[in-house]
Amino acid sequence: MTLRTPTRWLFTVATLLTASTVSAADVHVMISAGFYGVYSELSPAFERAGGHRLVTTRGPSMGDSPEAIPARLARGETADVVILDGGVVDELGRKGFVRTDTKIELARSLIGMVVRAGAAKPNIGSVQALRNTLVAAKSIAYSDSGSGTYLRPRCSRSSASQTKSSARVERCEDRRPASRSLRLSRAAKRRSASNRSAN
Amino acid sequence: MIFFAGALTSTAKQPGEATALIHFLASPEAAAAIKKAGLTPLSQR
Repeated sequence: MTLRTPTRWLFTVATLLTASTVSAADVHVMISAGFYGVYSELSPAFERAGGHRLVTTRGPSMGDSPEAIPARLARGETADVVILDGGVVDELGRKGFVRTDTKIELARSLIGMVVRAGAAKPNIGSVQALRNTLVAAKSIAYSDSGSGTYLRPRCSRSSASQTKSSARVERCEDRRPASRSLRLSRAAKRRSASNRSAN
Repeated sequence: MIFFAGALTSTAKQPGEATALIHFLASPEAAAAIKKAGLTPLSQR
């Protein structure tokens, strides 16, 4: 009996250690750029409170890049949580990657525009003023994530035929979509060529 | 206008902690950091 007591004690300690290892789990998070600043500021407090470690993978909410969160999930990368554009959460839910019943909206984001230093401040006070500004611009750059997706239909009439590419710079005109691109993906080049042949 | 949202994946191995993280980020405790980032928190709506 005297030998068994310390053995039992050791066993208890081992069990407690195992339990604490299990409860201090790694939580894998995939997150897009827009909310990342908030997340990175708040995550240390969350880790301290729960004793859990957040393992973070970053990527765009949408678009063609292999780092995009939908692309990561489609090729089998795993995570516990995704934090990204709410519309994409719904889309990922339809594809079976995400449980939409667990979706919670975290924040609302507006889209900003900047111009070259020294340029006149453009009028974007209404949808029409924004459109006029875009059409008049010599070239514009927009992301292929949430803001670009919002912008694209306001930028040209035949936007439906446009495909997404990363960090595209293009001319925004009423009649000729994407007539000048500084950087194009292969798909966009094919599209551009087919637009030219169609015109 | 875009809404950022959090959700569990279908394959989540830590659903409890993952849910806690989403609730934390949606809570009033997160509002100040959300405002600082130029976003509008929804917890105080």
